[in-house]
Amino acid sequence: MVLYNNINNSDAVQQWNNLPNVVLIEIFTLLSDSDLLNTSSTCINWRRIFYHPKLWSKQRLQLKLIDRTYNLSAYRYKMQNFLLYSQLVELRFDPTQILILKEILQAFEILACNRQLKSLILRPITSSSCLNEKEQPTGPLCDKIFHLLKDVIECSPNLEELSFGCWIEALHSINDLMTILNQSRHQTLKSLHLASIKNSETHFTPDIYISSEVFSPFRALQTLSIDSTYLTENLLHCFGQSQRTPLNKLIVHVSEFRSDIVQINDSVWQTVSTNLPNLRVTVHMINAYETFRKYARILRPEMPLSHLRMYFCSSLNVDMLCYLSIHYRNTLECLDVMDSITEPALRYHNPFRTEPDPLVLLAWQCKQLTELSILGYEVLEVNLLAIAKLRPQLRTLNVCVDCVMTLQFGRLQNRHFFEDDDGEDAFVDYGHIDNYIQTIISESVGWQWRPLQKHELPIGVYEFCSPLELSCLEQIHNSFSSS
Amino acid sequence: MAHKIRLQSSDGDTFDVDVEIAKQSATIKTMLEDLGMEDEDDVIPLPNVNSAIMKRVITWCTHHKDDPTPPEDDENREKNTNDISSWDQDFLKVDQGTLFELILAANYLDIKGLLDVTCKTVANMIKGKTPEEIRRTFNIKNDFTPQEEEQIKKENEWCEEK
Repeated sequence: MVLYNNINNSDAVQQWNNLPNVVLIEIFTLLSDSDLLNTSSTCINWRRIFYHPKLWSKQRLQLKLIDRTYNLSAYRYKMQNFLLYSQLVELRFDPTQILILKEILQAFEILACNRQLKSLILRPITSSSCLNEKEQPTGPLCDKIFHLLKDVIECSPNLEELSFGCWIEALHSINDLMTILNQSRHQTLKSLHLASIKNSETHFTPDIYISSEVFSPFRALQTLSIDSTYLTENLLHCFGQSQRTPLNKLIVHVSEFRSDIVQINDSVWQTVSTNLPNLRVTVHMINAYETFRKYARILRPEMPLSHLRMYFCSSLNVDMLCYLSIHYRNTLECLDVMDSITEPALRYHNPFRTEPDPLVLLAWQCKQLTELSILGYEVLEVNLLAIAKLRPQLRTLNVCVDCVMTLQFGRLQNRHFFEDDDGEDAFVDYGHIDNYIQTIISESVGWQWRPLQKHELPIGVYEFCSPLELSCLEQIHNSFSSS
Repeated sequence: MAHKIRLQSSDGDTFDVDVEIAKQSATIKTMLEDLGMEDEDDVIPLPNVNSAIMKRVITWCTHHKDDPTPPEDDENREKNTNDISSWDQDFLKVDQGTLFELILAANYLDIKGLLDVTCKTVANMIKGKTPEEIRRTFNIKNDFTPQEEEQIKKENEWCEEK
């Protein structure tokens, strides 16, 4: 209740810019974002009100510090004016740059005083701060990060979502962080992302032991991402055997196949699926080149697999595709394979054999399939057509234009020349798709389809890039966030 | 016989109003219940509201006397400004000065429904306008220095970035 001097109707000018704050906030909450920006640009008082948390604290605050394009002023402005009261925060940064790291750590310090924090998502553009491939994460840096994150966690009683974004330096202390989360946030946490990208070629990170029991108090957890090391029967027991929990998305990262991976019994998966019928598993394989038999140790038939992403594994073949078609025909929604285009190009199947193409079979069998992306492997143009016709509900159908293969008979085009089994001549052409076929595919799926051009593809497909995850980390981060 | 109370405006005029209608103002409700001013002879002074505005507020409250209690401040309230009833729209077809004073009165008397509908009306007057147009509409003086305006332009761009 604000007392005002007696204002008569006949007074000359009403002081609109001096309305009580509570009224101004009431009016401003009704405005769209752009109207709000315009309104707050009119006078000093209204600009001041603009910074009141009620007006923006529920929108996700995205802070970005990425090399070459980063705008330090914009970052600092947002950090100083909005970070302390934002409920939803996302930090996108290049962890290899010291100056950027300093700013990020400062953001953590501010967050340690933010009692409204509900969601903190880290999105480093590479998985490690180490500049040199052979370096180890430095002790002092990991300690500093740990202590700051500890403060943030302990200060946020409403924390529902926490993602480390595969950042090795943050996950270095995952054991201690889990203890803290276990004690203080087990009732509120709905989404937790602990998965990392271990790549024995570039970084050696020893496995940190986390006992499965540390997960049992998390009764509200809906989404969890972990490395395959922690995918044990005990862990599944915590979530899906004795009591029902709301867990519906489990993301598992496989970076290497060690010989001591304990295979989970199918009966355990069956029990879990029965108790948690909404549970879907996403598996990400990064630089995990292996024989098919080793894959089958993780990809058990009774696992409710909905999303499989294989980045730089060079392992797409007939066995794999048939296995997926058989065991996951009721659950598989997304198959995303990315490999570098090599010379000669990768093939998942010999296109000159008469058996049906296994990719087409997969599209036909997997009734839930909506996303199919095969980059780096040759795909026959006619097979793309078949896939589109058999699975018209696809929302994504990605291939590299240079990988699209067309067989020409009887026309020499100064290109490749192959002899097939029957002795007839076949000419193989790459890099284009017939307009008519493109139209039919578009009509089948109901949106404008075309193969991806070179500049539209992630860097690792055409050129060697180091570290590898520059090509796929963004997609992995996206999969953490989407419901 | 309806229980009435007497409200006194800043100009000294008094208005007899049904208690139930007057209690739409949380301020008046508090005065009656907590300060025990329910006696018929008591006069409630409202020095922040003049007679002209008082009359309008009473009209609004009388029309809305059977409205359900508005919900508590809902954190997830939609930004909907298109749901003003036609009666309210007519009621608010007034000059800006009156609208301004109705807002102040609704705030002072703590009448949520009236505050709601007047704020929505103001929001509708702001929508789609540039800062300069907004200033002209509400006769707001631009008290920024040119440097501050430049800075604000930059800040707004940063806020719009995704």
